[in-house]
Amino acid sequence: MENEQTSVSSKASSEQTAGEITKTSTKKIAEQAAEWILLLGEADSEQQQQLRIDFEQWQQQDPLHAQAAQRVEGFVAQLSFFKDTDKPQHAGASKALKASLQQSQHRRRKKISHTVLGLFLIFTLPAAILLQNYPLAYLAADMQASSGQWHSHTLSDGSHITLAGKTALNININSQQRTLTLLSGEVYVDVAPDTTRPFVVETEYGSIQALGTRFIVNHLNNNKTRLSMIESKVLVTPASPTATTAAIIKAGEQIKLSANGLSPISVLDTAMQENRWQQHQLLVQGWTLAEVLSELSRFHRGYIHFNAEDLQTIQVSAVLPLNKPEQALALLAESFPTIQVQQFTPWLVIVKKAVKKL
Amino acid sequence: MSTEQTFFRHDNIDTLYSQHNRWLIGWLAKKVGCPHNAADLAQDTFVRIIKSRNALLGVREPRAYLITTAKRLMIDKARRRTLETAYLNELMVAAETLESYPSPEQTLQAIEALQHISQVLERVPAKAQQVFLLVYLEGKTQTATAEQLGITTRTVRSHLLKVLVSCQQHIDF
Repeated sequence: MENEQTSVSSKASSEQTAGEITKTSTKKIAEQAAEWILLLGEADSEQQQQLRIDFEQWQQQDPLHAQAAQRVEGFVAQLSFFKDTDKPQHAGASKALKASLQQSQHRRRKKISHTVLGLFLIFTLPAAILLQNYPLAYLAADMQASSGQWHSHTLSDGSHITLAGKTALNININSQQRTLTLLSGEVYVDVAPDTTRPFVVETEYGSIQALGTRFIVNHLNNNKTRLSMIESKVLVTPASPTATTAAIIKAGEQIKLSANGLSPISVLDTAMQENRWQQHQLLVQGWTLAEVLSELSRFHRGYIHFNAEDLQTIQVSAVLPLNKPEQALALLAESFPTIQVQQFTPWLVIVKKAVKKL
Repeated sequence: MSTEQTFFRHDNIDTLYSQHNRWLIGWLAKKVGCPHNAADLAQDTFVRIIKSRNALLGVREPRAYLITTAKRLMIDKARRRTLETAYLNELMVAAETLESYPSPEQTLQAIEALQHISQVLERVPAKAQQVFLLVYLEGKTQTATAEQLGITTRTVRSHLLKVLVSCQQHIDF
């Protein structure tokens, strides 16, 4: 197999020394790049290392090789955004592509007749109108923060809340109660004291009643909600009927709520939280790179594609700016020469292990 | 030399517009049945030509060129509309459950990515489209895909290669 690859590569270079890039050799390069991607996709972890080195080598032979490789890799990465079967993007992409491809088949058969053209709609939806077609719960959410944003609000009762990164929540304040429902993301709450109306944060896995305090609730991606206490205390009641009793969480403590109830109470790093919410910085110590990228992606406008397994061995201790995630990525690229951060489109960033240059 | 070329091109588009815009609007109005939309479409067609890199190079029949560009434009808009509707409908269904879902920005960008993916897939036969999506969207292995469709793994690879080659083709606009 290796010999085959070598002979194909040298054939390509001899065609180039002929001085003219013909259409055939462009197609050949495209086919080679495609072959490489297929090989890498099929290879087991043992073969991956060597294959990547060989692939890098092939790319360095000619800028056209590198360009072809970039195009295929970029295309495959675009698709991987929709790959996670747990996320709504997956079903969305599946249905959308099916509909679009059917439409193109139909078009091929009809070969653009008068009637077909007449049915084509002309308008594309600008962003504002897009929101009207948006998922119900998100639309209904009273407040949303999209990536890279820190939104602070003062509620009608005088409480302050700050939303971090991609967050959506509902607010219901009336004469009897004050309820904040966290749908997704992360919120910092500073509750105004009011003995007549309890302040409650509802989450999927339980409710958190403030006893006049400051705390943070984070709807995590792994089916858990995390509560971090900054000041005073709260009463946490798990939603699960099988779970044990409620608990009071005090300042400096942290707890996770899940379908199974409450986790044991752990200690909170208050300095880290201050950095996060005041300076908009992420203080990490001994996190894996995969964990760091997961956190950054909540603040990054687009999509950061990376292979968690690949980057698990890299440990990061750093202070990263959360309000400028591109800067954070650049910092990471600088500090870790073993990784490569590539911006494919304004939206798509790919982070992967760099291969040693020759 | 390059300044000359720029003026040359500029001059050509102005001529194209002054000589054929009215005609194009008329032609489009017959096709889409609405003069207002036709005017918008004609406008977009010229914008697309101006934006494109190879605009007007070696074009002998300006009207045929305009029609081809307008048709491509309408196809792209229809594709966009189809993708958007299907994608958003699915997101709405998924939103019933309390999960974290993408922001409007992310959704817009996802739809643009799907446009590109669809354009690439439309260039290959239906079978290749199916195989490719099973492997790269559904995450099935090549062997599992071959089994499911009753074909050899060799055929699966050949289909995948078609798409991976097609995606490198430069889309003009």
